[in-house]
Parts: sequence; C-alpha cells; structure tokens
Amino acid sequence: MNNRVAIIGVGWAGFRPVTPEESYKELMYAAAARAYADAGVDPRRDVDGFVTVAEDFHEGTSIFDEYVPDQLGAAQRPVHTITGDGLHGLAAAVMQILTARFRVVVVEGHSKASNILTLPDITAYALDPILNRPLGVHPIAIAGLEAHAYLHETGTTREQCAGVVVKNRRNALKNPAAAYGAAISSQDVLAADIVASPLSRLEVSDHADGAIVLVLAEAGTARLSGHPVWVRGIGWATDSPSLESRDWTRAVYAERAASMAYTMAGIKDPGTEIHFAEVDDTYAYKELQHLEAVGLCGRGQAGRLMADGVIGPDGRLPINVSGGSLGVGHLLEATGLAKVLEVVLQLRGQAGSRQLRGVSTGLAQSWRGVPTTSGAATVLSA
Amino acid sequence: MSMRRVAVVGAGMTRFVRRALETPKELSWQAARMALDSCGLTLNDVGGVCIGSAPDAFDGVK
Repeated sequence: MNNRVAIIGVGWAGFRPVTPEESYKELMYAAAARAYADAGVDPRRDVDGFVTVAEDFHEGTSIFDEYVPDQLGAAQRPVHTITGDGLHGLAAAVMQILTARFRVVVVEGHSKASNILTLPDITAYALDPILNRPLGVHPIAIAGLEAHAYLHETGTTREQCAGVVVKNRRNALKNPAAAYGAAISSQDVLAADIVASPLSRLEVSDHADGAIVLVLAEAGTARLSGHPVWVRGIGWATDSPSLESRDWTRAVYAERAASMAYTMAGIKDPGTEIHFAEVDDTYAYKELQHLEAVGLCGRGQAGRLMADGVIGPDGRLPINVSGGSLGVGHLLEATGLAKVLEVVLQLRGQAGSRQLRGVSTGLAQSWRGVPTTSGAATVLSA
Repeated sequence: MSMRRVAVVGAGMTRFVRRALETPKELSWQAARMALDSCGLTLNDVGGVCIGSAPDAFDGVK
C-alpha cells in the first residue's frame, strides 16, 4: 500500500499529570488547531471526515460520539467515533481514504485521565461480567500474572524489565511534551513497592492528560504538503479475551497486527527494514514482550537487547525514544497516537534533541490495556 | 481510483424477545452462525469483523 495515504499534519496538547484549567474539549481544540495549521488545512473546507477514539466510561458520558464534532470543526460532517485505541482510529481513517470518497480525514484521541477518580474500577468493568468480574480481582493483577508467565517462559529478568523503566524515563527527559522524565536507577525500580507481583510501582506507567490530532490525506493532496509521512501498512487484531483460555506468555494480538501491517507494507525482514519503533510499554515487561511479538527480535531475546543497550537511544534499534508511556504518561485511547506522533516527528527530522539519525522507516504499535488482548500496528515511512 | 464494489452476501438475526435467556455473547454467536450458514462461508473466509454496540453502559461492560 505504498504512497497512497500519508499523514500530512500533527498537533498535540499536553502531556501533563493534571490539567485543571482545561477541559477535554479545550485540549482537543488546541491539538486540532495545531494539526490543521501544520497540515495547512481548514477543517470546514478541506476535511472530508473525522474519526475520534473514546471510551464512554472514561469520558463520563454515554454515547460520547455526540460530544466530538464542535471542538474539531466537524459539525454537520461525517464523524465516526470508535471505542478503540488511537491506531484503530488511524486504521479507520486510512480505510476511508482508500474508498476514494474521502480526500482528507482527521483522527483524534485524548485523555483527561486526571478527571477520573475511579479508573481501576472502570477497568475492572471490562472484565467478563459473568465469569471473571465476580472474582473481584484488581485488573492490574492480570498484568502481574502475565508478567510472571512471560518472565518464566522466556528467561527475561526483573532487572531487564527495570532497565526499560530507566531507559524510557531517561528518554523522556529529552521530550518537552513528556510528563514523567526522570533520571532513576534500576535499583530505584526494583526497590519500589510491589503493586502486583512482580510489578513494582515504577514498572507501571502513570496516566497523563492531553490530546493528539493527525491529518491524513490521499497521495495527490499529500504530495503537495510539506512533509508527508506515508502509512505503508496497518494491522489490528484481537485474541480471545478469556482469562481461562488466552496465551499468557505471548502477545498474539501484536504478532497478528504486525504481520498484517508488514504484509501491506511489503516488509519481509522487520529486523532490518524497521529502523526504530514506538511499542506499547504500559508496563515495563510489555515493551520487551511486544518487541518480540512484532518480530524486531527473536522470542526471549528482548531482555538481552535491553541489557546490551541495543534498544537505547544510541543503539542499533532505538525503542520508545519518546519516553514511551512510562516516560510520556499513559494517554488512555490516545496512547497509540502518541506512538505515531513520535514516529512522524522522527521521520520528519523534527524530534529536537532526541532526533535519531538516518531513519526512514518506523513502527508504531499499541495495546488496549488489561484485560484486553487487542492491539494494532502501523509501518510509516518518510 | 474508483470505489471497490461491496455486497452483503449473508445475514443472520436472532428472535427478538422481551427477556432473552442467552448471554449477549450467545446471541451474537447465534446470529453470526446463521449469517455464515446463509452464504456457505466459514470463519476462515472472514477478513475482519465489525461490531456495533453503544453505549457501553447498555452492555454492562467497558
């Protein structure tokens, strides 16, 4: 699918642990205004469709679709809201453009996590209501169980997982938009309180507020823009969410999603054709598990790559140079769009002091979080 | 680039009742089974699944 759909504009507002002076609508408006200016489009004249990703229970309103158009300049236009991650929204926008009925489509995702007083309870509400929810398990325990299974099966160590936290929090120091940049040690991570064995508090990403808007266009329009970043492939998949029958050691959804994206992009050997990646790191072990799932290294090898510095900002395969969710902050449904945003900035050469050299193809991968087995991936090239 | 032509080739629908004894998953399964049977396809022929369900609160799950 090369050179058919491109990202021609990006805008963001945030990212901060709390944003008491701005509503989610104001964050969306700020991100959209910047994305439209970046792309050189007028939403009322040039944009043919709008896609938002949002979860009713995170927003505090039923049928959140109705609360989307005004602040995006999308009133009286085709608007489409998806209860999925930002990359699911990106996939929908790409498909709309491929119908040839839409020339320019906007994707929006946001987080006002600081408004949510009962996030773990809402997440627990995602558990199967008949078989699993009555167990009264805190949802983060599912991540702990999975981490144990992954570490046991692959021989990955807790120290290697702690290294992911150290790397991403340090990477975030070079990202002005990141909320949680910090210089900490592996010892700090390992010594922190355990929240769900084996995960310490520092291995769990904290939430941040913010909004991200992307402007996509078909090839003709994209070529007239300043710096198109081409969506070469995109894929998504959901495994069975059943706690009883899922594979607790592998991220099958990420394997499937990446495989679909690679096929579309014509990527045969991701290890050499992908120069850097932003992968889901909601929990530290997830970065390593996802790295293996998307085929950037062999099974059980990611921990060693971490320890050897290969996935550091100066390594052969930089991962989460933005700081990832551990360093930027977890942005609820906008998390996948934060991954895309970093890949776009890197490919444009606009990543400031964290700019990678000689990169022309990157991967963004996302996960829906516990208790889901849903994820998506996209391959982008300058 | 012209629009790819698209057709509905199969469909299924459960009975509408006041108080179904089946779970939502079982109702979905029944309708999907009928839809596949109606056109002689199997799950292996399906490239993607789209489900419409809103708002979450009606389903009692996030």
